[in-house]
Amino acid sequence: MNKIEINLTVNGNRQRANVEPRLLLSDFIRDGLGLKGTHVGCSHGVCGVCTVSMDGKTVRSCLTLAAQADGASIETIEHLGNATELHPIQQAFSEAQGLQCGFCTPGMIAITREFLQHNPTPTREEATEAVSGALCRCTGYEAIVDAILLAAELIANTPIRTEEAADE
Amino acid sequence: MKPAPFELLTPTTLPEAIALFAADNEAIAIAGGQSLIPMMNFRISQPGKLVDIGRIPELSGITEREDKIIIGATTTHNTLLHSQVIKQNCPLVATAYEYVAHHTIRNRGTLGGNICHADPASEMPAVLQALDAEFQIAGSAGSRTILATEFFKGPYETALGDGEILIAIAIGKQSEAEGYAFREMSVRKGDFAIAGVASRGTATGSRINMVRLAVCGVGGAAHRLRQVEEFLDGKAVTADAISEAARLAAETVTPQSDLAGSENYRKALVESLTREALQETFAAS
Repeated sequence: MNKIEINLTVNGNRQRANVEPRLLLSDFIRDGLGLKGTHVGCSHGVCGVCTVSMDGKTVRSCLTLAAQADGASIETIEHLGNATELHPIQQAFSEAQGLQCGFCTPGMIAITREFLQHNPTPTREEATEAVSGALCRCTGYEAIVDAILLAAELIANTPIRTEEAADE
Repeated sequence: MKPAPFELLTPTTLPEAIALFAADNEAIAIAGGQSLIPMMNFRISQPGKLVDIGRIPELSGITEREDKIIIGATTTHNTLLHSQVIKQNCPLVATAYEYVAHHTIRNRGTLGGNICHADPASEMPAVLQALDAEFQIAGSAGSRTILATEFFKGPYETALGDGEILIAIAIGKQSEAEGYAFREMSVRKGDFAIAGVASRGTATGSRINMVRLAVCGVGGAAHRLRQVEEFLDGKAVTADAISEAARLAAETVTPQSDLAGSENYRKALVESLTREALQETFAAS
């Protein structure tokens, strides 16, 4: 079976791999790199739980070939905060109870992060629309929207230094 | 839920890409992959060879000419949604884009890919037909231009021949005098249209002198509602004329019945959406 070499950056680390063209980015992240934070729900681009950041924009990793990520910079949920120092968005999701089982949460957080970068002071309606393309079976979505609005506040009140430290 | 094996080629120039398609009629183009990859994950589509045309710079971008806008086939939906040039010159496109997919899908999905996939519920095939858009196509036999209204042959079926790829979409600038509207019903905003209507037109002294109506999601390819356009042409803009046009629209479409809605429901939708779209289009008249 033919394989192609890809070179990309994942969470700040350079990666080189030989992959089958048919390997999905979601499976490369989970099985190739062992980063299990990115989840696979529907595998056809409808649920949004596989959402990661590619060159600063959210993509559905089950709708992206790993080969299409050649040369790109990928960020997954593992890149945000850590156990002792949560990223403001993680803090907000925790406080607002924007998660229960957590399955959709990495995708929701990736979407939230990109959304707040473009719209740091959203209305509730705007925040609701931002995640309307992603599915959650637990929360009923209201708590997720609460979390996004709280995250906007936390980011606005947080000195820039903490945002950078959480991204490392 | 994983694709079958295939060979992947990634040309970086247009001539390279055309040569690859000429060499293998079975090769399929991939750009954003937001429609193709789901089909491959389901194994509904099992191409032996994919040609990734997403890394060819000349296939992407928005160019403003004096009377038209040229959009490269691999320009992403979000680039178009957020483009001032599109908003100012093709506002029907900008307004319809609010209904297309979701933000993350629009980051990768391309207008050309959407058109060539020709999902009957897709919005842009209807919008582009309402705008009398033209498509520029290239293949090993050379280039040609085809009207949007002649491009969509049926569900998932276009006029692209063997070895041909879509290069660009040309849209005439909408005049300042034009009204326009897009209306859709879907389960979630951004989901596929259960029914969608694109409308634009001008009226002089309250008489309609140009009107374009196109529909999507109602069986077969997206298409113009020419009977309704003919009915409206020259008519005074009145509530009665609009209601009659909407009724006629519902009569002329032949929708499918499926999980999203029955034939009758879709007809009723077409009537409501057409009435609303026409009201908004001719609101200033």
